[in-house]
Amino acid sequence: MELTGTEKRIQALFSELSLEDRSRTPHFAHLWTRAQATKPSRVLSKSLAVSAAVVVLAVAFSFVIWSTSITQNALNIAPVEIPTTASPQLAAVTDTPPPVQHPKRIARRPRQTEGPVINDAALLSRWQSPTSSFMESPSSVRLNSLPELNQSAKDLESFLKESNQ
Amino acid sequence: METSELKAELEKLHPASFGWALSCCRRNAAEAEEVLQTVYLKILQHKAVFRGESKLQTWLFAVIRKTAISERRKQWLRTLVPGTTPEATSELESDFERTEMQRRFQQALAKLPARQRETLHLIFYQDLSLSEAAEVMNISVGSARRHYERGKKRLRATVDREGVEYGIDWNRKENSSAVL
Repeated sequence: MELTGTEKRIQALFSELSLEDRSRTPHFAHLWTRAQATKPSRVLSKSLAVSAAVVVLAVAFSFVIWSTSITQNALNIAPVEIPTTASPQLAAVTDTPPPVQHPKRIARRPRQTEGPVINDAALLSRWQSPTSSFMESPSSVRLNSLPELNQSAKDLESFLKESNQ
Repeated sequence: METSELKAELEKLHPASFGWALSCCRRNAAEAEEVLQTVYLKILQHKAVFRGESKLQTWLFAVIRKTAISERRKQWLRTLVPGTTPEATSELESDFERTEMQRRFQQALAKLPARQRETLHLIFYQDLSLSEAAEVMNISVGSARRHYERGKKRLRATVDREGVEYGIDWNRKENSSAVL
């Protein structure tokens, strides 16, 4: 490359700069050995970073799965049959049908914002005390029939005495 | 190329590589050293592989340039983190005893856009051709020529504005096509 005029002068200045740089150039062996020394640590740090990222991803993934399963459970609560504490005999006697839960309300999907509140309320309303069976009267089992409207008081008394005995 | 053979070649090119790293790191010696060490590390880890498609020097200089750019980006990101103080980016006022002319020249060089400065450095300092400089900078020869011409012009203008007496006849006619 043939240089002229200005270029030659610029090159002279660059040559001066080059000489200055050479005086401050670190030894090749020094940099090379330092690079060799840092090689394992950098690899290690990289593998550490990768493993940390994998752990974080696994935790996030499991959290997502857990949260979706929780919400699905909350939305798909089947209408729980309320265990009747009364005996089957009494149930046969009573004409009134058991309280029917409105299927529409249960089947209807609650709003996303009201979902947890409605579910909580449903769960609370279905709750029964474990000691509720103690509240039953022992005589209730023996009630085979109910007194009719036109039955006399005497008949009723005799009926009650019999049932008490 | 074998590692031992490559090491020998790199050792030969080491002073020039450091000079180029200095230019890429705005004359910051510590940064240039760090960049060069990272380049050697990349070569050792086979992240940077010489396939013989070009001259070893142009390949190495391209790797140095890319590494310096990425290091500068990392440094810039570090400055965004609160509590960290930005490192000095230039060592123009170092303890080196340099002539007034050289000092002014370096100041003028530092004021040039990066591409122009790099082109001038590769041609005048490293004695590469325009096509080789274009290869290092990953640009076309036409772009490299444009950067070279503009850089030279701006360098002269900057120096003239600062009233530096180079003892150079800047208006002397020259053959611009003689570069290639």
